[in-house]
Amino acid sequence: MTADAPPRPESAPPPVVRRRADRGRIYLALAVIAVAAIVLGVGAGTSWYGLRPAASTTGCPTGVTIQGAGANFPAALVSQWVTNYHTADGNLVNYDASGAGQGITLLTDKSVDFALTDEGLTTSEASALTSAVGTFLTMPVTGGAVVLVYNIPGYSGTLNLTGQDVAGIYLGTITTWNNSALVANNPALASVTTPIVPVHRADTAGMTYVLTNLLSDDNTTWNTTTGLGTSIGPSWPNVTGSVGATGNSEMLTDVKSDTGAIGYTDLYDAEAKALPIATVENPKGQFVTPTVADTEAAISYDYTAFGAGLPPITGDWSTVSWVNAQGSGDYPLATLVYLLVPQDPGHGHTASATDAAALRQWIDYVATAGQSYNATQFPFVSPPSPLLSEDVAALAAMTYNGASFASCP
Amino acid sequence: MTEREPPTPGGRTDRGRRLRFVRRLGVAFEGGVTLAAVAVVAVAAALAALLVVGALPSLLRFGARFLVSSAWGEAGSSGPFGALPAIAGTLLTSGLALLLAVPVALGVALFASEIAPRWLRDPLAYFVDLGAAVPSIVYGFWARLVLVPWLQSSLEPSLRSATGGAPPFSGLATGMDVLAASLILAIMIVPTIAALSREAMRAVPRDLREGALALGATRWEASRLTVLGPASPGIVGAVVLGLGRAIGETIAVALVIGSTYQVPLSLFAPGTTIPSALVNGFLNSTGLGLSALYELAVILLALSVAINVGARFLVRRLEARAAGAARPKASAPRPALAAFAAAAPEPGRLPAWWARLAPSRSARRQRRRLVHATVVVLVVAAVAAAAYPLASLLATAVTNGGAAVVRPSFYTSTPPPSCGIGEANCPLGGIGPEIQGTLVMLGLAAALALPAGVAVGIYLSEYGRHRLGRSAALVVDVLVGVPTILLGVFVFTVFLRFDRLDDQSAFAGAAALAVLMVPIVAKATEGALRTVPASVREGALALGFPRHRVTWRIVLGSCRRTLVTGSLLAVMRAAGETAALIVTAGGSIYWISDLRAPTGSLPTFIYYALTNYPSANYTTDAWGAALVLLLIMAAVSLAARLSVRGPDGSGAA
Repeated sequence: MTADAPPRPESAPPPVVRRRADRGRIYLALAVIAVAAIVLGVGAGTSWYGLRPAASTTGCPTGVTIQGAGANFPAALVSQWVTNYHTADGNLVNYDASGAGQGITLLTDKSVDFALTDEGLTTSEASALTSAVGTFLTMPVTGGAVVLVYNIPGYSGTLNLTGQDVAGIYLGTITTWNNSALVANNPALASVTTPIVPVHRADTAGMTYVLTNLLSDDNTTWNTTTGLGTSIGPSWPNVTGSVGATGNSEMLTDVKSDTGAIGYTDLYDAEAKALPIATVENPKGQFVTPTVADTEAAISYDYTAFGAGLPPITGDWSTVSWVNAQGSGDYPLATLVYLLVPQDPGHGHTASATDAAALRQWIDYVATAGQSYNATQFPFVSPPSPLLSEDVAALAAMTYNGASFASCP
Repeated sequence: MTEREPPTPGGRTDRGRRLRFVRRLGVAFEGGVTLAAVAVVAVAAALAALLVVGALPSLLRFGARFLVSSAWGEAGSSGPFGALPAIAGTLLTSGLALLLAVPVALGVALFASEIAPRWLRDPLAYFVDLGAAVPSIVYGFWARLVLVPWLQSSLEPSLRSATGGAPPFSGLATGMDVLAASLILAIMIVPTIAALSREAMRAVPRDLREGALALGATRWEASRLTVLGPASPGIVGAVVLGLGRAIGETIAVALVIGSTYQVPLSLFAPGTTIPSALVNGFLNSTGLGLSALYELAVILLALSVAINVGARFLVRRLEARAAGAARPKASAPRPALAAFAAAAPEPGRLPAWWARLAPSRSARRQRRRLVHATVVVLVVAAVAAAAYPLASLLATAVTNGGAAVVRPSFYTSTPPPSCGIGEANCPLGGIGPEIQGTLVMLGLAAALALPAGVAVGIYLSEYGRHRLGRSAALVVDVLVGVPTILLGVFVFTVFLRFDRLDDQSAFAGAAALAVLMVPIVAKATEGALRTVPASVREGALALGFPRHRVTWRIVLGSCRRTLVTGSLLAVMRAAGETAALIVTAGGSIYWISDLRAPTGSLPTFIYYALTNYPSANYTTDAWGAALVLLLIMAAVSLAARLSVRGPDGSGAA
């Protein structure tokens, strides 16, 4: 491109007056762009940009980025775990809290190292995941209460709801706050004529699974017409005034800003946003305010009730449910959150034995040291301790492409 | 290719060698730009093919029933799936948005081009251009937090009580419904339509207006008679482009439409659109449900192609008609002007109906003044209606994000962890990795897209005169209007098919941005090159310059500023792109350590704050990110406007 211009006839003026310096600058810019493109292209091919230090002197990797995705329910707790784990061990955990359904899909696509979900995988989800990554582990790591939040201007009492009420609201048979079914348990509602705006999650949400689990238990119409699942979203009953929210954060915004709204979220987010929380009737006929204590009681009641019936960590968790625990004072909308990870991460997204060691170290942190955050600043519930011990035991049996790999303290 | 003189026989002299070199260089140049054009056509073909392949299982299973069914089974189930609610929502919201936007946009264009005082025109044009540049995630953020509450508490209840809840206004007013989606779409496409219509009006020669004014027309009459006719092809093109944008808009609609899979029977009913169904469902669907989403994507692609091709055809027809009407009376005054001259006060020649309508001369003059005043009032009202949402958006961003952007650590910290309940001194965090991710992905995309786009533009303007040229021109036109969510779905699918690439990564994000930028740069280059008169090329060729050198140095050199402006605008569009990056790049709260891993960016950070991270410190940072994006857009728009006014600029002066 640098050949000189052909000699011009001496008499003719140049056709366009240009400054040489400008042309030089354009070439320079093009050259810079070309070099940048080549460097970046080559760098990508040779993993230049990995910037991953080898294992440190203690034998534990640092600077590894672990990808995770899934439930929004424990997002606040996970963000705290991630920060502290990074400070302690130098690895980075990037958790995309776009919903349990997305986490399961991305794990099946081998796009993430682990997923979190607040439902046991359905049979079809489990078989898809198994055919993608082989045997996988379902590890309970935290839990908590799904709470019903509402926005009724001028109403300051507690709101007592039964499963039947909630089903009626989401089915469209109860449309105003002074409906006689609601007034029966909340006399002060008699004067509130505000229409109800039922808000549901439009994406695939584990919290939808927990709520629909309760509604299917309590209401036969719901059970036969809608049923339970994470992805009820698109096929949610069409009710006048009902609204779909993408993500937990939008759910909170909707309930906070919309007069007459009712929705569901986790206890942490309801408290952080200062939204009024409803009490829910349990199988003993008691209206229970969701707290860490009565959620923990519900989970341990169910855990005892399951006994040996609880599946092993590599088993089928599709029928395990923590709602409607039968104990006195137990909160009925309880759930555990499971961490899903391939037993052999080499068959999934994880790219090297070093990365697998970091992944195992992270899960170990979650199941042990991370548990101290449950129940304090973050109103989540630790799973029963035998389950946590099983988590740790299962970690030891993990392999990388069939071979065992170095463990970290 | 023209040579100055035949090479010396034998060709072993210096000059012979140099001429051969120059000739080869010319062949290489033409080959390079042709290759770029072929590549663009190939990418477009791959896009359509991958979407159709993804849609096949659903197509085979449901056939034509897909178009009329309203069902949407659970993700992972075998359906049934149907597209009717998404198609109905898409057409309803964009149609309504167009109805609302066109009068306002035309008013703004008329004001900016014809009626505003001269000193106000440039600042106004800048403001309108800025409105067109605001990223859709920022519009969506504002709409969700300002527009929706206002709709629920004020507009919708009063609409309902005014109409008694008659059908289009029936049902519960939630503010998250078809009306909200249509309104935000209208707000978003007004600047686009207004800017393009304004340019079409300004392109009409001044002498016609002046002639009409000299004959005694008011300014409105002069515009109506001399400007609107010749500008109408451009205005129609602008409106159709606005429709295309409305149909493809993803994020802003997804955030306010109430995401419910039903055919909306009222403006107050929530619904869904094809793009919002895609962004909500694409990453968490499998099996037949995923295939059904691909089929939705195919329908969206077909809609957008139909609109673009239809617009091309329509604008051509209108231009041909305008040219045909003008030709027979080339030497006579323009027909409209002639009609005005004929209607000029000359008592003996007035038709009877005119005399009845305007009994006396002074009464007629009063009536004309009244019409002019009414038009001015309407046009100013349109400007106010267009400016108010934009002003509110800027004010909200400054109020909520101002505290964040003045904090230096905002630019150097990673996003904060969520605050514990009752935790004092909650960390504020920042958006450092998001800025880095945006810069890296933009840089990668620009490195690929700017040279490729310029090459395609050169091909279209200088070389593409045969079948490949025509199809490349059509493909580029269509690609400019393809909804960005489809580009995201396409790139994600490509990365998913190649097992060795990670699905969500900086590379995938950059690839999506590059596919977004190439057609914009190509159009800008083609347009700039076409402004260079043929005489410049002919003169240079006559002087013995080889063709590639004429193109590269002389033609390209003389419209460089316009080219730089076009490229800046393409980079700006990519910087604000959200939907494609949500699908292809995901998000990250860390500094980049691997370009093959999910990577954050400013627009996706705002999206995640609005959907996934309700913590207050996140929301503040998200407003800060929105304000940073707005400031970048304002600066780039200003730079683009200033650069086209330079000495060799061919843009607005």
